[in-house]
Amino acid sequence: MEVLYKLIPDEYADVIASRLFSDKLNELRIRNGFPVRVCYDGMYRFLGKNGLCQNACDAFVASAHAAEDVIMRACEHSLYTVTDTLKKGYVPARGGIRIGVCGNAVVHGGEILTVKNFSSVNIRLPHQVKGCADALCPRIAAADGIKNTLVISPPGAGKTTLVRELCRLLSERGCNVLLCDEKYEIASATDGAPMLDVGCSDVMSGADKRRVFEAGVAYMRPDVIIADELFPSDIPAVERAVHCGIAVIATVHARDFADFAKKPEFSGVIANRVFDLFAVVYPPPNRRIAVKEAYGDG
Amino acid sequence: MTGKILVVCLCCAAGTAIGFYMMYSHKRRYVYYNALVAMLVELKQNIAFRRDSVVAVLGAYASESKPLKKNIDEYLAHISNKGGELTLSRGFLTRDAHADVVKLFSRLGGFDGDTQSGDLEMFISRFTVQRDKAKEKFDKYGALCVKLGFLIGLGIGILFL
Repeated sequence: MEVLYKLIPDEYADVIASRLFSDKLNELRIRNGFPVRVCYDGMYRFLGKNGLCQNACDAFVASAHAAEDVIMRACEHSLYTVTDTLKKGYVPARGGIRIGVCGNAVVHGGEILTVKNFSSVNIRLPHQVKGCADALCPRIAAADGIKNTLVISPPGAGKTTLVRELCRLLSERGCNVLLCDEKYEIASATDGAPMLDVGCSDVMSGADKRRVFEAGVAYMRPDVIIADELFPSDIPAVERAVHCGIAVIATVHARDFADFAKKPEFSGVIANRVFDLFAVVYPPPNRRIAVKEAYGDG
Repeated sequence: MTGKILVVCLCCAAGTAIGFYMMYSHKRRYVYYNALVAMLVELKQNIAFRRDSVVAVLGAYASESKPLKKNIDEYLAHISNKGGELTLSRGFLTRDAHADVVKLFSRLGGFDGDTQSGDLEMFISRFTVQRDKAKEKFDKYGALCVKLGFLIGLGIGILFL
């Protein structure tokens, strides 16, 4: 939380520190000139000087340059260090915090060069929940090896938290775990050291999944590669790793398995039986994990 | 007699001290600009490869010039404060030189890599000219100040006699 307090205005930090429980705070949304909102315990409310409030009139109103101030603090006043991630729409901060960014995109030749005139940010806070993968891990780490697993859930349901735990548990079982932490969210490595507990895993931060998969398979000799937020363009790299005998655990955005199965861009994943197991994470208030075997009902 | 010799020696010493001070004032200007140019070169090289943050690079930079170290500390303190205007100590810098230094620090970190490198290159050129001028003055007048100071002190001492 200290990292968060350094990013936001002192008046917000004082209220959060004194009136809110840090483990229930998931998001902080700051929009220039608009009331500040937080996602607290799964619900969106406004943040005011007395804590959470339902009424926008009682909330803090962000200044005209609030979003830019947050981003400059997050990148330690060095915009050039986050140019690549800015193009993708986010800025990573220490401690696993990911800041979604909105503003004016500068486009040239159909490609986004950068984002300027920042208008709003969404500060997403990671939470380490030890034990959240205890029931799932034995199903993945079977006697005959680790099963290729796809974790499916909508945004904000806890995929990344679950995957972080799987990293830790599998590495504790003696597996060589290669973690592809493209957005610095899972391990949040700073100066070479993970800030969040991922056990004894090999962490590659900031690089895109295809490169990590290729280099990892060739040089790190992993038993399992763990990655977050799979895109259709990542599927060939996943398939190559699986065909090399390396297990893959990844996540994807979808409401549930049926919703995932409808996506044409992922049709090959099911048809080619890339994954052995599908774990669907349902968001709160009815948070649970449902597991489906690829070759039968689970 | 002893008193007169003492007066002459004191005058010589005072003159030499003033000469040393003047030499030092030339030198410190050169040392400042030299350290500033070296810092900018290191920052530019870092941006081209490692892309560490300005805070990391400047925080680790060991400056030979104490006034520059003070300016760096003031800049880092400004970054860690939320809001407020950047103010840097002027010290022995001229008004224009100080304005250039403030402009440099104000522009750090606000651009993408290529633009920042270009910006730094511009400041490196500008401060290299200042550094070379300061070095020329130091080479020309540095030792001369000490000698002149001694001679003037001696002259004044003799006049007292």
